[in-house]
Amino acid sequence: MRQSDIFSGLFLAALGVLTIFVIIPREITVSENYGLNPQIFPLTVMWLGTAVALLLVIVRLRQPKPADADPGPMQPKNWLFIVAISAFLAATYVAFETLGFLVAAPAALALLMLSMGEYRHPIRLVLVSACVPLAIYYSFDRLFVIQLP
Amino acid sequence: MHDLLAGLMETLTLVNIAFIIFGVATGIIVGAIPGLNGPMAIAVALPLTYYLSPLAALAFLIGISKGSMFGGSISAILINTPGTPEAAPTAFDGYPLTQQGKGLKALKMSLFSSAIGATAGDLILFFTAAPAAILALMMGPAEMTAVLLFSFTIIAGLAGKSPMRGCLAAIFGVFLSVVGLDPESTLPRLTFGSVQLQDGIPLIPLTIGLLALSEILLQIEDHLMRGDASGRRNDIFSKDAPRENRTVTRADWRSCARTIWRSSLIGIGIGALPGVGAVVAGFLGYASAKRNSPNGDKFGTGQLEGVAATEAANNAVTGSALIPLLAIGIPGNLTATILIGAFLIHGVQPGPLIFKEHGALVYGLFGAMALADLFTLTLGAVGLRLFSLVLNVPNAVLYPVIVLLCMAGAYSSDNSMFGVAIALIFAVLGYLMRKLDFSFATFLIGFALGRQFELFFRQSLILFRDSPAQLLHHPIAIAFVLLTIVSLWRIGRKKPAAGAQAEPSPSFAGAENVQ
Repeated sequence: MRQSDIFSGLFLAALGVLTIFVIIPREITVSENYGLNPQIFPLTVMWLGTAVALLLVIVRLRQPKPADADPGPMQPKNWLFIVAISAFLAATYVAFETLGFLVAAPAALALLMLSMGEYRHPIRLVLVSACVPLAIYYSFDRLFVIQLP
Repeated sequence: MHDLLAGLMETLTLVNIAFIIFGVATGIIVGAIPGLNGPMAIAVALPLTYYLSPLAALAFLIGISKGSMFGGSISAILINTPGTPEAAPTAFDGYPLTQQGKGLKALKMSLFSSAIGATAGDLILFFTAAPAAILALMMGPAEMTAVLLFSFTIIAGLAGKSPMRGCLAAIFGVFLSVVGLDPESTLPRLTFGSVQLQDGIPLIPLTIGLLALSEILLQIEDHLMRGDASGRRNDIFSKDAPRENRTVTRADWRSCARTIWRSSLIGIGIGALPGVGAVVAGFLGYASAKRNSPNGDKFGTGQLEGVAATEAANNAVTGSALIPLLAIGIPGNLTATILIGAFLIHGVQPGPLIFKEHGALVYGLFGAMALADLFTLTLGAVGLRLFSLVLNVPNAVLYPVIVLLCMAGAYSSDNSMFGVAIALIFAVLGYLMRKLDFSFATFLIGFALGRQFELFFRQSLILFRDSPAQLLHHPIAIAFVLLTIVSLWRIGRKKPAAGAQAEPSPSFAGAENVQ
């Protein structure tokens, strides 16, 4: 975890600096007319966060390197997975919004099941991906009075 | 007295009893499924309670919480995969017992010790929450700022292998809570022109994404990388097994009784501390039993005491964790954090005034908790065989269906796709946090308490900026500031656990490797 702590600490410290000097001044209007300046609390918290992130980096840098190679928690295959699943989730979101739940959900369900090896059980794949979205849609609609898109 | 009777009578209506039973059954099933847990199920169920009465909603959610705490032990004992993080130490001795053909005995001991621990925690809550609330009424903005500050350090200090990462997660959680309108000037802050963000980042979709969806992403990844590992079955109900392997004997009770009470007390103490939670309680209960048992050196090889210790401790937390929530409005654990949402959507602000303004609801909640304990015991006993069948649903079906349910749940929080977007963003963030071992629990608690903390902090600044010496007249605040300093000093001195260097993935998906 040493290396990943150093990288994540540096990333969070950079994010903190960006937030303090760019995002907060642009996104929070300074106002002294009533009570305290709205920037005070976010700035205080972000300065603290940046300091702790830098402290994490310094503490980890001072630690001796582990004797055996530390593979770290995120390997290329993990990055590949999270990028692919993020793209899938984003596409599902767009499909929900444009096509509606009853069209997008069976497709999303079938794709996820296929990727997890359900092509070996085609009947179950078809039944689950057709029936479960219908059941969810109608239980939300009838029981909880929530109309899914 | 009137509130007490009114609350208890309302609990005993048929509808509320039905919701408690439904909640407990749901909780046991959810808890038994590896990767799912109580807070996750409560987060998904929370939007569904909009249309229920406040007591029915809380009773349902409490039922899920109680049921899931026991349910987590089912998969821990049967397939060495804790259904919930709290049940991780249960697997240490529970699974070896299953391998020895004593799985049913272990499940029964888990059920009985869960019920005893949960009842003990509830009794302490019933008798101490109201007096604690009276004390809390004497606390002003300075005291509350100091208490919240101290809570953050306690939460961060016990969040995981690295307290510093826990602190960072809590700080960024607090920071995100400032998104929305400024509480004094009502000027928009960090909304990037979005009208929907003016109400702040919604808690429910954030919780669904961070807790439920991110865990499912890890489970899917684990499934894809390891291949399908389902299909393992343990015939623990075989009639051929000797009777003493299937039942808890009097000798077992004698050897475990002291352990159960000790662990219950540990669970109660841990639960009453804001932000510590059932995971720590389970491990402490197990460690304490191992240290005090004459068979301590045999722990890990199938000792019934190990199962009893963990389950009594983690179940005792469910009741006592509500003490800080009801007394001073600070959630004792993740479940209590999500329960704040349930209180708020029904127009109830948890905190010292709750006994005065919503006394009947609080006593009704106490009644619901007692009933939930009773139903956990009876449903657990009746349904042991049935609940364990859920484990046989293939992961390739289960996980995609849960993803769909999460998206539907996030949508229903405000009937818009904005909630779904928030859930998806925080699902990816939650995945990265789990992988990099940044505590999502401290992040969530920081986010949930951030607004309240800011308000007290700003009130204190306004009160004392002209005369800081006035602070010396607030001994409770000074005491908590000193405690905060001591806590920070201890966090600074604490070295990261050895496992933090060696363990490639801190995700709970790999919890089957707990031994």
